Order: sequence, then C-alpha cells, then structure tokens
Amino acid sequence: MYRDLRSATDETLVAILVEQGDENACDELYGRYQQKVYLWCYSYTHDIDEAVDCTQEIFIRIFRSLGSFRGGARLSTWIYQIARNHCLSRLSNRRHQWRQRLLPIEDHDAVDHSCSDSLRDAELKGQLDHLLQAANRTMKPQELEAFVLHYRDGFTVKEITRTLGCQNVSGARTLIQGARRKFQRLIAGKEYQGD
Amino acid sequence: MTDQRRDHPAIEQLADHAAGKLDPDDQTTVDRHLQQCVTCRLEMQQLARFESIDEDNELLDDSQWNRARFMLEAGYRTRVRPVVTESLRREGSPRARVLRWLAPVAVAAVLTVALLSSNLDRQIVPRHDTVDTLRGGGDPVEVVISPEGPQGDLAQAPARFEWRSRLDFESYTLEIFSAALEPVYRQGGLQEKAMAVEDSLRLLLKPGETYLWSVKGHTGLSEPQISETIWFKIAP
Repeated sequence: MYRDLRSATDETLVAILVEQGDENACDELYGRYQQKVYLWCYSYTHDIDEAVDCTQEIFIRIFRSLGSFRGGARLSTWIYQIARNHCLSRLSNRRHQWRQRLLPIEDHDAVDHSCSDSLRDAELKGQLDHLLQAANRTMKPQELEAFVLHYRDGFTVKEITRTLGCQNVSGARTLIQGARRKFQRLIAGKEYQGD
Repeated sequence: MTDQRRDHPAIEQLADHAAGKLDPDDQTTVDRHLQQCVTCRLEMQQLARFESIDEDNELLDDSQWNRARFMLEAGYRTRVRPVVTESLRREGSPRARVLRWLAPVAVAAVLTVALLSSNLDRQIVPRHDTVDTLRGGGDPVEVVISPEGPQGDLAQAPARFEWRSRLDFESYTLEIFSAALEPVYRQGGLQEKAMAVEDSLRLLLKPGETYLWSVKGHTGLSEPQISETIWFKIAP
C-alpha cells in the first residue's frame, strides 16, 4: 500500500485507485483537480451553482471511466478532455444562455446569431474543418481563434482575453468583430462553398 | 489519432508538442498541421489554459472560489464519493467482473423461458421498480422524486416527461443521457412536475437509441434531491 498519497504521481494514484480500490486515492485525486475543473466549468457557466453541479458531474464521469485511462497519457490532459467535452455538451443544450453572451458586431447593432448558427450547422454536417480551413485563409490566426472561441465555444470576451493572452478586453473584442466581418463575407461570397 | 479527432493529431501528441517532447520529425509534422488548423491551435491553447487556470487570481475572485470550495467538498461527500464507492465495490474482484458479465446472460435466459411459457401476445413492460438505475444496488435510498414516464419501449417520441415528488421543490431539472451516460439534454428551472417535449428535443431523440433520464429537485442552496434514473427507447 502506498503510504503517502500526497507525494504519489497522478498516474500512481490512478493505479492505486483502479487496482486496489483505495478510496483515499480518490479523495486525493479530487483534491488535486477540483479547483481546476471548477474554474474551467465556471468559465463556461458563469454561475457558481451550475459550475459546482457541472464539476461534480465531471468527477463522476472521471471516476467511472478511470479504467479506460491509458497510462501513456498525462492525467491532466485526460481530465481536460472530459471537462471540455462535458462543458461544451452542457452549453450546447442551453443555447439560450450561450446566445446571451454573443457580441453585436457594433455596439449599436442587435445581436445576430448567424455566425454561431453557421458554425453549428457546419459541425452537425461534419463540415466544420472545411469551413475553418477556408476561414484560415482570410483571417489572421488570432482573429480566427477568438472567433471560434466566441461563436463555437460560447466564451465571453473576458475569457477569450485570458485564453489567448490578449492585452485587454477591447483587444479581444476587436479581434472578434474583425473576424466576424470576414466570416460573413466568406459565407456570402464564393470563397467558401459548403457541400 | 483518436476517434473523435480523426484528421488531427491526438491531444496527447499536441500536449507533447507543447512540452517539446516530440521527436524532431513529429514536431515538424505537428507544426505544419498547426499552421493550417485552428481547431488544434485552440486545443493546445485551451489545454495550456486548463493547466494554469488555478493561477488566475482574477478568475478565482470572479468565481467566488472560497465559497464554491465548501459546496464542492459537501457535494463530494454526498454525491461523488458514494458513486465511486459503489463503482469500486462493483468493479472490485475478478469474481465480481465475471458475475457482472454473467448477469445479463442469466436475465436473458430467464426472460426467454418466461416468454416461451407465457402468452406471447402479451407485451412486456419494464416495471418501475425493476428498471436499471444509475445508483445501482447500494444502501436503500429514500425516494423523494420518482420519474413516471416516458419509460420502456415507446412506439413514438414522447410528448411529455412527468414525475412525482413527495416534497414540493422550488424548481426541477430534467436530464437525459445516452446509454453511454453522455449528457444529451438538460433543462433546469422547471416549476411543474412535467415538461412538454419541444421540437428541438424531439430532434435530439433518435429512434432505436436507449436514453436514461432523471430529475433533480432544487430548493434554495440545499443539495438537490436526485430521482432514480429510468430508461426509454423509441421504436426505429
């Protein structure tokens, strides 16, 4: 039995949990990752109760599927994938909440959902990669990244600023608005033809 | 490559690329891919963000981490750990694994015998108290909320979800999962003990697929009460 779980690596903890069923290893693993997962969920939900609920759902999934964790990968990468997929799926089921975060192209404009709808349609048809490749030819890399984070993942401007390391919120806002104009031209014009 | 990212490097490869752990040839290949692929660039950036998210003091303040921590610890004891304990108990020994594999075979055999010896015209409807539940067979749990329907095999998509509750909660959350426990649908803030199925949900429910669903009851800041989970399947 591993005496000091606090000094065990993540991978050792998983092995102890899976092979020996040691619930202390479960406590240790939860303690290590609860803050990261909660903050990640909060980035998507912007609501404490929802983020707590979402974090617990993610940990239930993590612990239920630990047996499928492959030792060659880092545990944090594996947990990130589960957390990200779960948050996206949850947000997708609450599109009204997500839509409230979308930016108008200019301050005086009404919010238009055509960009998020186009990305979602392309994703449902399995054409998202194709669409993003076309957008990659017309947008600067950071513009496209900000655009996708905003309109596909529902990130707020503040979250995008943090994720992309922009200097300030207005920098991220400018990136999204510039990208959006290019994207609308792309969709309207002949630069991209969906199949 | 993973199944979900067929045309992209596996996420472990992206993580190794970010850490400079790939061999030079693979590093070049991934570099070339990243120049063209915003999905993978974002995957790397988001992974890096996840790794360091707990160092973001502004987010820690915004998210009221100190308050959330207590809620998480309470939730861990009452919601997460019991599930893990139950899973570990079930996964436990090799004997338990064999029994788990044998159980469906035994049930199928019993059902076959029962079918052959009874009126074949009678439709078998899963009984409310015998359907699988996500909670498994742990200690008896006081059931406060009980899903009523849809349940079992359905000829067509359900029109409503209905449940009973011994207590009146301020609101309810309906959750639907796939058979693989992937979340399919979630609707909170429900005031009634029923929810009409909208077109958007009807489109999500695919004939031939088995779905599990449950309800949570919420009152104030107290822990939500979770119903048992029941299943339904729409005929193909």
